[in-house]
Amino acid sequence: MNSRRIIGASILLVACGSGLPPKELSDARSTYERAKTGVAAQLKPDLVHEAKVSLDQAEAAFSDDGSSDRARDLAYVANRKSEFAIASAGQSAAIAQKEQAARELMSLQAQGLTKAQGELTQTRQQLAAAGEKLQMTGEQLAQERKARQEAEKRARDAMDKLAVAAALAVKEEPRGTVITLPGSVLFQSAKWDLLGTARDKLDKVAEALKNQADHKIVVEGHTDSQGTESSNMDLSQRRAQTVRDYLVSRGVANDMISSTGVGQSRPIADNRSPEGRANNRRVEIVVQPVEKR
Amino acid sequence: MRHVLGFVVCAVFVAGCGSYPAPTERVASAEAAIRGAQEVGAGNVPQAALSVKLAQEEVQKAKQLMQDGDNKRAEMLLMRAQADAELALAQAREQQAKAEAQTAVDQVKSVRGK
Repeated sequence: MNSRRIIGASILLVACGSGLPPKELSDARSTYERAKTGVAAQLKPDLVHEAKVSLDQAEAAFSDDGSSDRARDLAYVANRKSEFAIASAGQSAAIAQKEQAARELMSLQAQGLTKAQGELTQTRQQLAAAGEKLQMTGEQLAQERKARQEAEKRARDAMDKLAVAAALAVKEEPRGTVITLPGSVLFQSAKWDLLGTARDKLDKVAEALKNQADHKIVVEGHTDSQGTESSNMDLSQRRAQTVRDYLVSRGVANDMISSTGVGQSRPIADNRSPEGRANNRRVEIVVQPVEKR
Repeated sequence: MRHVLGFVVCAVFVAGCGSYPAPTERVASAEAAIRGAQEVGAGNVPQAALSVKLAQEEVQKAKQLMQDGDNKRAEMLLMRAQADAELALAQAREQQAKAEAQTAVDQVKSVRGK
């Protein structure tokens, strides 16, 4: 009750002494209120304080002389100082926002860089793995080639040994390696049972042929031109068959070796002389390499 | 003797009354503040341009008052001009900083958006 009376009295006093505040002062008051309660208070406290000092001067002038020019000018300046504090704080806030954005941008770019580096590393690892694989494949190829070369060498060696051991003609021809066995060594005239001496030789041949893996072997029977063509054909077929069967019985792979008779059709010597005819009576064993897929 | 003394006292009184010092320094200061605001591009920011215009008008008015011998009122107007010019500078800088911040924020957005 008591305090209300005092407030009432002081309002009356102010109203009596100075009248209503000029527009400049009421503007200055509200702008200062804005500065005090906004971000300016945190970002630019010194400027807000200056505005307060300026406003206090204006208030003092107003309470001294009422709405004098001086009071209005001071209020105007005070208003501008509050606005100045607000604008300066706005600038600081914008600068802070810009710096924050710049930091964010840098971190984003750094992230992008890290990601790109990660991808690069991954790609490099994949490349390295692919390289290793290639090298492995290359090594396997080299091994296979070496194995093949060794097998071929073994085959050649076997043939060379055969030529020496059995005193047989071994020739390299376009159709393959050809081992020629004279007919007189193998059979009696007009017969197709193997002679005892033949078995020795054929054992050696079988031994050599067993080393010819990946080869196709054809046993060909040949005769001279004496007798009829059909009987010669028949004889050459039977002889080739006999040799083939014997070689199979001595361990040559069954599915690798076949036989055929060509009769008198492919002489290698003159049939008019006895020596020539003896040379024409023969069995040829053709060894052909099979193209490996 | 009494007359002379009376004259001197009277002259001092008149000088003291009539010769409030001319606020020439304040004129220079206000004009410098206006130039400063214009140099940071206050003319391109509407709010700041208005503040500059007010300051210029106040300086003009103050100069007129000084010619008329009202130095005291002129000084107060120059204080207004000073406050307006300084505010113009702050407003121009605030606007520029905001534009730069916006550019930076947009850049971040565009990088994010990729």
